[in-house]
Amino acid sequence: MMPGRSGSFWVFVGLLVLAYLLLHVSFGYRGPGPDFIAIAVLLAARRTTGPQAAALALGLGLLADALSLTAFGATALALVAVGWVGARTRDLFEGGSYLFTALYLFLGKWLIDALYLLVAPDARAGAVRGALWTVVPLNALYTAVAGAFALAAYRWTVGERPGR
Amino acid sequence: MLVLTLVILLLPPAYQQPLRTALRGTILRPFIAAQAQLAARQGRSVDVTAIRAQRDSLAALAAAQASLALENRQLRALLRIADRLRSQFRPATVLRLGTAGAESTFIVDVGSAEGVQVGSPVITAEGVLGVVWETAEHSAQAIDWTHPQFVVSAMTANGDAYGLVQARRGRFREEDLLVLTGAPFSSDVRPGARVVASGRGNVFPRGVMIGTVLGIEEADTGWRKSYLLRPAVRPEAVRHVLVGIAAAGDLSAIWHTAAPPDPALADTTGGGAAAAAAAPQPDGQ
Repeated sequence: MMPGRSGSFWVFVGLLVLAYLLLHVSFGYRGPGPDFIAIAVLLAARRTTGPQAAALALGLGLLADALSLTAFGATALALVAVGWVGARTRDLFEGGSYLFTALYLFLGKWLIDALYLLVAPDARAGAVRGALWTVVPLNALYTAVAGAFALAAYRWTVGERPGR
Repeated sequence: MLVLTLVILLLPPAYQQPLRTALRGTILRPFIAAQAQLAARQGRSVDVTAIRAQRDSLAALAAAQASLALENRQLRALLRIADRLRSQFRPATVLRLGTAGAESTFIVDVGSAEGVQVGSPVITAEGVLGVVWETAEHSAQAIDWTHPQFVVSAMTANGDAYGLVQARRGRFREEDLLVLTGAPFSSDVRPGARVVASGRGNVFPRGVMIGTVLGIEEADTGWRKSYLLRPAVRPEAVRHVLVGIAAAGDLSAIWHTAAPPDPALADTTGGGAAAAAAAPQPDGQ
């Protein structure tokens, strides 16, 4: 990442986290919708190293898990694993288009939720197996669209070209 | 990093709690406070009539409870027995959270400073809502009856059948129901029968409404029957609750429960198993 843009990108990540906390903690929203923390981790993973992405994912995951009574660490684990994989995808895919970003966010969010359902004790106890093919893809779609729009807004603000 | 996360995930809840508490008390604090402000503002402006009705019901419930406690005190004084069954409640506002893992949980704006403890019952004027799982100084987090680990010791209102009530998840959260398990195979509980807390386990006061029977869920090879229940309280609609702050007593009169005295409660050893089942187990075991 270019040094001059580094600061503004982390402000962008901070705004995404703020949006997540406002939506889900302050307003208590529980319905389907974009996961701004997943967007923050997945987009940051494309611009940082694996360990840096994992560290960010750990911090944000624990923040998201802080209000969980029986699955503390489950979101963090899912975010760390997918964040690290996301950072490694730079070696495989160079895409920076919005279509690629949306697809990347969709798959990333789907994997995060799938891992979460796998490790969260509550998820195992409940009838959530069907969620993997119903609610989870819907949330992934919301996340992909919202993430692509957020990235476009960021790029427009800082004057970054989509092709990088 | 992955190993560190795994360690955190596998830590016993008692070791996770300080980390959770620190995050809630620092970074998340303004966001939770914002929801409390929003809830207060909403309570003042949006649906004043509905909330006033809910509060009036709770006030009536609290008043009835107070008179029962007084009556109990007088009877206990007569009988010179220990003041074991004095029951008190605190009114509280419910805050809902939308973060991962916070499904089936809620926060109330009363905590250990107000006398709330782990295991304190949370009820509404309609009946059982949940149980406190974790406390802070001025707030507490509770699970509602839709949580997979929620269990309450229950009986039919006429005392014919005893058992445990747990959640039965539907395809959607709105379809979540309750199920009375462990009822004797010989029991014949008709649809529409009321199911109330039995008081075993000393978590929920005896007599608090849980739900009404919809029908038989399954008859377990001649040994046990399970009954599906329509819950008395839908958690998503609740904004104000009463939180128990002391040992629970008998609230049968409030919900018009005419069951005869529970023989298991007279025999303390007999109620032990049910008590263990109904008590919250924050360690997740």
